[in-house]
Amino acid sequence: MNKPNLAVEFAGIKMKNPVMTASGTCGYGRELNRIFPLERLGGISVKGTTLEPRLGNNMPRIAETPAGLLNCVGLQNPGAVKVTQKELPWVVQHDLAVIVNIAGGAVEDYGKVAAMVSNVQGVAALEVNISCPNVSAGGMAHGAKPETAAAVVKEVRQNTNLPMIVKLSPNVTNIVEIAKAVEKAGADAVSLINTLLGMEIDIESRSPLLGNKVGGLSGPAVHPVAVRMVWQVAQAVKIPIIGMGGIMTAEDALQFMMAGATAIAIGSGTMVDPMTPIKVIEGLEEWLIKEGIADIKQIIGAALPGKL
Amino acid sequence: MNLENARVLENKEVKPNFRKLKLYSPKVAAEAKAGQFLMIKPTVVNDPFLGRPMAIYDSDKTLGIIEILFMIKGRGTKLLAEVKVDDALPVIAPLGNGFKITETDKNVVCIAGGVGMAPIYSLIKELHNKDISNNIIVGARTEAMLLGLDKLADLCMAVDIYTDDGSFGSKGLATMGLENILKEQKIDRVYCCGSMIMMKNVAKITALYGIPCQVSLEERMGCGIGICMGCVCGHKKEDGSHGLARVCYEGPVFDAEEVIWHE
Ligand SMILES: Cc1cc2nc3c(=O)[nH]c(=O)nc-3n(C[C@H](O)[C@H](O)[C@H](O)COP(=O)(O)OP(=O)(O)OC[C@H]3O[C@@H](n4cnc5c(N)ncnc54)[C@H](O)[C@@H]3O)c2cc1C
Ligand SMILES: Cc1cc2nc3c(=O)[nH]c(=O)nc-3n(C[C@H](O)[C@H](O)[C@H](O)COP(=O)(O)O)c2cc1C
Ligand code: FES
Repeated sequence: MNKPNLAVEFAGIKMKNPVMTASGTCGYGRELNRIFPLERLGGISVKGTTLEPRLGNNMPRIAETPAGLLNCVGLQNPGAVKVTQKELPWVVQHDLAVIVNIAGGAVEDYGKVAAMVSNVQGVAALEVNISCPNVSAGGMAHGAKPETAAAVVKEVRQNTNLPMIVKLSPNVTNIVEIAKAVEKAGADAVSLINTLLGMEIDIESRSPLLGNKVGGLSGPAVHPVAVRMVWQVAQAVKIPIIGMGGIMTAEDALQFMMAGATAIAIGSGTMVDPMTPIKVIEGLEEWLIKEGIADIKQIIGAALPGKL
Repeated sequence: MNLENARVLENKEVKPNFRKLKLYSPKVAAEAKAGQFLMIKPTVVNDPFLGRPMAIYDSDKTLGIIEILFMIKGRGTKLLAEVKVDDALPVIAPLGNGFKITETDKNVVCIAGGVGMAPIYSLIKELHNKDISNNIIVGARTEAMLLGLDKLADLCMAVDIYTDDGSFGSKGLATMGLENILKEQKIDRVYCCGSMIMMKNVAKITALYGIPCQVSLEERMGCGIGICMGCVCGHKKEDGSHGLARVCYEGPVFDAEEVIWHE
């Protein structure tokens, strides 16, 4: 059989394969590019960018958990000016979809960062982070309610012509409501899930282990939660979905695509083995060949009701 | 940097609660520099999930062998203590920036505290090969935690030993030994790896004497390869401004004067 087609296109974003690295687990691509050519990826979502530089939270920022990790990095980044001048011009030279993850405190900040990033030639899309559990001002607070989520989306929409992906938090009662609200407010796609709020207590010191006390859970432990959320959201919205949460293998990625995701992102999996995204791409290709499927698009949403 | 499964050649107790692993990893052995580290897992399945940072204790390019020296602490190192000969352990290595050796140095000091001997031993070996005169100070809480003395004996190196409880060598802190040497000799550079408190004190003393010092820091790590921002330390930049540096990527070895110490 000929090589299957792995390319996907959604919301005006073209990817040679559906595999991206997730924001916060790949910097701006420089370090990974020393391990494999960045171009192998379908896309990269760079570290969350805020208007002002942020030093992030105190150490420790990482705690290992069963089948995953907690982090409280807290959006450490050099700020929008440095990111747009120094980091983005480097990464956009590479042939892959460069998605810029943006975050803010005040709603206006999102708009300002969106405008600055939109001026950089070669950026494929914005990913609006309304779901970071690690910053007190903003972040997850915006994503917790349909109205506040929609307000951020509208603000960004007014400041950019780029495709807008909105990254959803799993730390809500009903993620479907939030997804519908951001779709209505003008989002071109949604990505999910961000990390699940969690905590680890150091029983020796009898106190929370992480510098920020609480942190976001990611890795294989969250995979079933994330797949469920993608499956529910896919039935409620028309805009495309980027699925993520605990992907380590092509099989994990296929679950997301069958649940309705057009593309997938790998975070923790890249941290523990930087070749994970490449192994997933190769595994997807092998699986398609084995199943005799010519185009990966054929499996998107295969597990949704009515598709069986 | 290499990602490979290193084959276990030997897993040996060196002291109660301390073990040494000998691994066959020719590519890593060929590239490793003193002070660099690896991320290692005790199993090929992803449990435990994160790799464990470990200094490269020794390496032999010709035989393709590297060694790590570790303390059994929590779950990861307990599992590492149980690996069998011929097990394949995932490693990413060599990582980080090692110690910077200045060829024109004539006389230096190396201070190792406890398991801090791991990166310091490979440095001692390199200084030895370069014929740079070296005063070695080893400190530990107690005799049972003094590590690497056998290897230093093989190099025929004299060692100044301090234990907190006086169970071996002089009673007291390694920093006392440092002050004695700095008072008596002309020292070009000091290198240190030990507890944070030891390194902070060594940094203070060397600053007082105006002698350049390099320290190898320890921090919890997510990735070990610079992509997650999980392992940062307070860092003074060249222009004097304060920022953060990744211990895994800009470090783990830093000039002591660049480090912003806690408390
Ligand atoms: C650059 C570097 C080099 C090191 N070299 C050595 C060495 O040569 N020999 C040695 O015995 N130890 C070394 N350490 C410390 C070693 O990494 C920890 O003791 C080890 O990770 C503990 O793992 P665990 O599963 O037994 O402990 P657990 O407490 O169960 O580990 C839980 C999590 O916390 C992390 N962690 C816990 N303690 C430490 C610590 N002190 N430093 C960093 N991470 C920690 C673990 O990596 C893991 O992610 C080094 C650390 C760093 C950063
Ligand atoms: C260390 C770390 C840092 C992260 N930083 C960000 C970030 O800056 N912005 C963001 O939207 N998500 C961030 N995330 C969330 C991931 O992008 C991803 O949504 C989540 O980890 C689930 O995927 P995974 O299980 O594959 O890691 C971060 C995750 C980790 C582990
Ligand atoms: S451990 Fe991930 S950046 Fe250092």
